[in-house]
Amino acid sequence: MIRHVILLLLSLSTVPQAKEPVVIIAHKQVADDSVSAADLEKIFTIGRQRWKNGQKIVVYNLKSDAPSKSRVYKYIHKKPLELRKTWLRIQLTGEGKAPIAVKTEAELLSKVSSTPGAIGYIRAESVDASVKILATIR
Amino acid sequence: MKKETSRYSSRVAVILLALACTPSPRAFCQEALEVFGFFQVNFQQFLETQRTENPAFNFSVVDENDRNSFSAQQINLFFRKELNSSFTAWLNFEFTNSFSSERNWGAFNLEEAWIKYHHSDRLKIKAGLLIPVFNNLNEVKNRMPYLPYIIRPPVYETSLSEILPLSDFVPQRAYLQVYGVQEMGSANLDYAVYVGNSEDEHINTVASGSQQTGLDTTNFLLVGTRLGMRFGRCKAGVSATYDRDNQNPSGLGDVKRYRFGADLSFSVGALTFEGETIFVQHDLDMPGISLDKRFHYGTVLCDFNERMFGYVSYNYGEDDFKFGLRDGMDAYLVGGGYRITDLLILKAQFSKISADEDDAPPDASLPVPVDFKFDATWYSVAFSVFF
Repeated sequence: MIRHVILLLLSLSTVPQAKEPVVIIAHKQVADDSVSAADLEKIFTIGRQRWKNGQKIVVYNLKSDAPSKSRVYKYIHKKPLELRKTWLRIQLTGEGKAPIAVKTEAELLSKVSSTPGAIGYIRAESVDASVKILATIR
Repeated sequence: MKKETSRYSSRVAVILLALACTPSPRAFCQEALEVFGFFQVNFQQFLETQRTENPAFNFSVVDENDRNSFSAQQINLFFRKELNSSFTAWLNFEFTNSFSSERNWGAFNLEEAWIKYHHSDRLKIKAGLLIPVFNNLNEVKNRMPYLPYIIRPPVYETSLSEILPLSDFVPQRAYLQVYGVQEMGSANLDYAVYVGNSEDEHINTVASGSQQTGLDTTNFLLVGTRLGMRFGRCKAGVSATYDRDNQNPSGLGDVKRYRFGADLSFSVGALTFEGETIFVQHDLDMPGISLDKRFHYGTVLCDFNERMFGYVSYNYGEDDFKFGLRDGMDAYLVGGGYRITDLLILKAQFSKISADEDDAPPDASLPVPVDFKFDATWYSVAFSVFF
């Protein structure tokens, strides 16, 4: 009986699931209207610190290993450890700050909508009109 | 009475602390002051053998040194403040080798004190005391939580400064640096140009008349640059500096010195390769005398998973002028670590450095040619904390 339950659970976990779209969101007054994967990679590695109009970029990230987080990391071809090393180098040389980590998508949405120059990501179903959508990862 | 005094002192300390932590009214239009840092504490078992011999003259000196020690290897305190969207101020204080001024242990250094003007990602200017960009490692050589090493590649290892002239290989500090990143399609072009004082031996250490300590006593300058390219997980660059080597004690004067460097690092899967080469050349027109130096290192690091890593590193250096290093010096570094959290890393390392010079020419201290052999082995464990 136990064996059957385990097999059932294993088979359920391997059923392919449709990936939920993730959106890259920004503060409404950010001058840019879109970001490419390459732009996003530069923003998340703090290689690009300004929007096109010169405004400072403030990056928000999720603390937990949420699916939306791994989707974004995959989209920019970065592993979590690689990003953490990059942020450590930037922080230790005084060149910038690591992304600000928040606990939940709701908190991230609230921070991005209220912080000038902010950028972050959430599941598409959680987004509202308080922020600007710069890209959709499907 | 003593209790009263102690109570009074602690009240004063609390008040001073409270005042220090209270932001001034002007501070409200600025970002908060960020204070953070790291320390690395280690335990080392050190074995050293140094042989100086000449069988023909029946001359032989063997020094053996076997010791172990705990040490607060390095503590750095950083202060960072964004004054507005364009200007950032940065201070870096460094304490090494269990620093205690009372007991004459270790050293306390103001490593950096600069202000950065961020015009755009393409153009940034740092002014003040700074560690210049040279190859890949120089700028981060003292950031221990970022580095896998306990003992670093020799030209970046301050504890070896007594046997290896570190500042001859890489520039230690500068005072003005213009740098930035230029996007070129999917690649990035990094550049940095800097200027600073001449080397430490030219800096005044004894106050006399109008001459303060800490000031350059020459009218020479250090100038340097690095040009680099980043593409995906690959990074490469070339570096160069020009300054003058103070060879006045050896009677050669102030010799024009050029340092050339190249660096390459890339990652494939869990493996990261990092390598550098440095050539130091002098403009010295004296037959039979060369001050030139070379250093190369290559490290392969493997991140077995998010927590565990291991590495092997081979280093080779030569100094045409320095006794014992004329026939080269090899260093092997093998180590690994475990990231307990992102802020706490355990490290272990085996390091072996050996130098061997046959038939070293006589000088004032050794009047006969000698064979010199140096072997040093470290077994070290450390923990590195970022706070």
